[in-house]
Amino acid sequence: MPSLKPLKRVLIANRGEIAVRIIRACHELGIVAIAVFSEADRDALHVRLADEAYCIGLAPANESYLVMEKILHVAKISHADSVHCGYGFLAESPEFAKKALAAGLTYIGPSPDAIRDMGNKTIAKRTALAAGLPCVPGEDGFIESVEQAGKVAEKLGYPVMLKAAMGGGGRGMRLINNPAGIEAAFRAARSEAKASFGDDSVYLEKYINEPRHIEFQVFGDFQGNVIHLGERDCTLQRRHQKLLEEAPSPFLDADLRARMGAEAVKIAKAVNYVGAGTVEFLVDAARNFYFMEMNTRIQVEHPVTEMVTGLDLIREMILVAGGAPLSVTQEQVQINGWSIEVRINAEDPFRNFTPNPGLITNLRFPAGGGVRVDSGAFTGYTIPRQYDSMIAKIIVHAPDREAAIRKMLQALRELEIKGIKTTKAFHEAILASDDFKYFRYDTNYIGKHLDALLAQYKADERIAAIATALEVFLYTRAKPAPDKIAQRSGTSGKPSNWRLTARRDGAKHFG
Amino acid sequence: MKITVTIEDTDYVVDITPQPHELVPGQILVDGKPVAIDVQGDQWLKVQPRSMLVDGIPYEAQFDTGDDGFPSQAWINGRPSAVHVDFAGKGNLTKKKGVGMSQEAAGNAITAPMPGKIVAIKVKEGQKLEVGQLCIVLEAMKMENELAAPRSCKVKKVLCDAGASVDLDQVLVTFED
Repeated sequence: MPSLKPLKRVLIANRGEIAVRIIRACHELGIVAIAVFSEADRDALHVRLADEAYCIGLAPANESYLVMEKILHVAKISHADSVHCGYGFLAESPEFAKKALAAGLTYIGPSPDAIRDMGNKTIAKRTALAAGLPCVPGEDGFIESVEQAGKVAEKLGYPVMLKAAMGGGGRGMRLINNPAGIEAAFRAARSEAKASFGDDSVYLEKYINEPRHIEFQVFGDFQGNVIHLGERDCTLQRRHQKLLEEAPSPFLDADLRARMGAEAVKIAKAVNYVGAGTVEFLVDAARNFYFMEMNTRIQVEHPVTEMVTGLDLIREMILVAGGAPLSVTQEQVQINGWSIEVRINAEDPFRNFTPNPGLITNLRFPAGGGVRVDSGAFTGYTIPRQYDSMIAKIIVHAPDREAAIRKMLQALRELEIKGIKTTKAFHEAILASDDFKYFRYDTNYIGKHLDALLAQYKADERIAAIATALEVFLYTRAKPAPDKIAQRSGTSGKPSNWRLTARRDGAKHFG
Repeated sequence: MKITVTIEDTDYVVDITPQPHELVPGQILVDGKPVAIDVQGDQWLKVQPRSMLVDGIPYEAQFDTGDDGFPSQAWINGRPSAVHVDFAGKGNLTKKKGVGMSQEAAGNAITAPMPGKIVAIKVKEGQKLEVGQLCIVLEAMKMENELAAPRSCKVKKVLCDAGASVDLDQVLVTFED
């Protein structure tokens, strides 16, 4: 166990909204926050708000934020006593955790061993099984014949998924609903696997019907306490990327929550977990749950847990790393009300979520009680193209789910971002839908229904026509500044206002 | 001033009579019918988003601009609507299209849809291509974008280098028949 002393100078090995988040927690604790930044981030909010800031290289992450030696060098010259990696970048690198510890820094997170073991999907699954957690049932080893497939399928229980061992991209997979379907599926999966991957090895796994992604926040301290802080439902995804999260999950009842929470704590204890972690489960239509993986870092969507528990998880991470015990016991953890978070990204939902980094010319964030915005953006900020496309996380907290949905719709109504396309309209369309209200969705929902939802999401044409006409009218009527350049007319022989404005502003356009 | 706003094949004719010497519109007719509008004419252009009341109901508006310098998309309270405007004398005012944009429309070029880095160039000058054949892989925001030949054609010139950073709308490859 490392020698534990309260932290005084934290180096934040990250950028963007999470770096701002960590700076806020540090300052609330009276701790010095040290930032690092790449050339592309010189103007960023986290640099502006830190106590000290050090440039660590060129824009590409692999020349800056991912370079361990540079981060550790800054830690040395800034006399940092600890490092917080946020999420992404080096956050789940056991190697970096080891190097930080070797350099005498407190690593705000679990041990390098826990990071390594949970980062390896095979070891993580074995650890989970050994701890008694239910995992996606599957047969170890390949299926060589139709007869064997039948036997294994019986054991697992239909429906089952036949998958290519070397597979990917959804190819070489066949869903088998009953014994009659085995032969055709077996031949098809094998031949597709052979054609696509040059290897026809297939294995069987139980098919998780209408899967929902539900994860539990766990927390451990150096005193050996491990608790869970309830779940987050992250079922709404697009291409395996989370878009919207809520706490609690509309799908769980108190009994299932208690059982899943207990399992989450079990695996965290099995790896002597310290700090914040997340145990992810898949839950099927019949309410069976299966361990998927464990993430050994703070997650993007941690705010929803903070809203319903009233706890500050980053603060907790810092205090625990400094040797303090968890500030609450399991019995003291209470889930109050409902919280929803949406991720506003610089992507155009009407054009297949094409990213569009660029300059934010105007920004208006929502506000009010129970409305929270975690963001590194501001008016005049240019989203760099080298990193992720997140602009802001909008989080709401309300007494129940329906109120939370309405509150989020209001917050999105107030949110204004000009200059780049964002996913705001996408979230509005989802949150206003009946499917969302009655939680009729699984992880495949967006892929199936997005186009239909967006097609309905349009402005009233008459109002749009009036507004557009006003825009054109008022622009052409705007009084121009006096212009010394000789004025050529249109057809009337007199200078047109538009022409003068265009010359003065260099053919600037509307907006 | 009569402005025709076309939205999904429907023409809305909006007739705005200006107040003399003022930016505030005096009367506004939509398809011949008067509409009660409340707009701060001198504030409209300064504030984002724009604010208007129509029949007492407030709306906020924002616009995307097309190549011609006029609104191409209106956002009303966050909801989009593709628009096209026309009015007498518009032809004199239309901004000239850049070479890149009109060439792309004619299928004669590939331009960068966003700023990024050229990860791979899959074609050579003089090479014959089929429609949809992969030409350039552009990396931006941790994602790879595949840019393909818009039609069956021949590569005229490759105007970028592998590893180079490119800007939005930058011409990357030109084609000929």
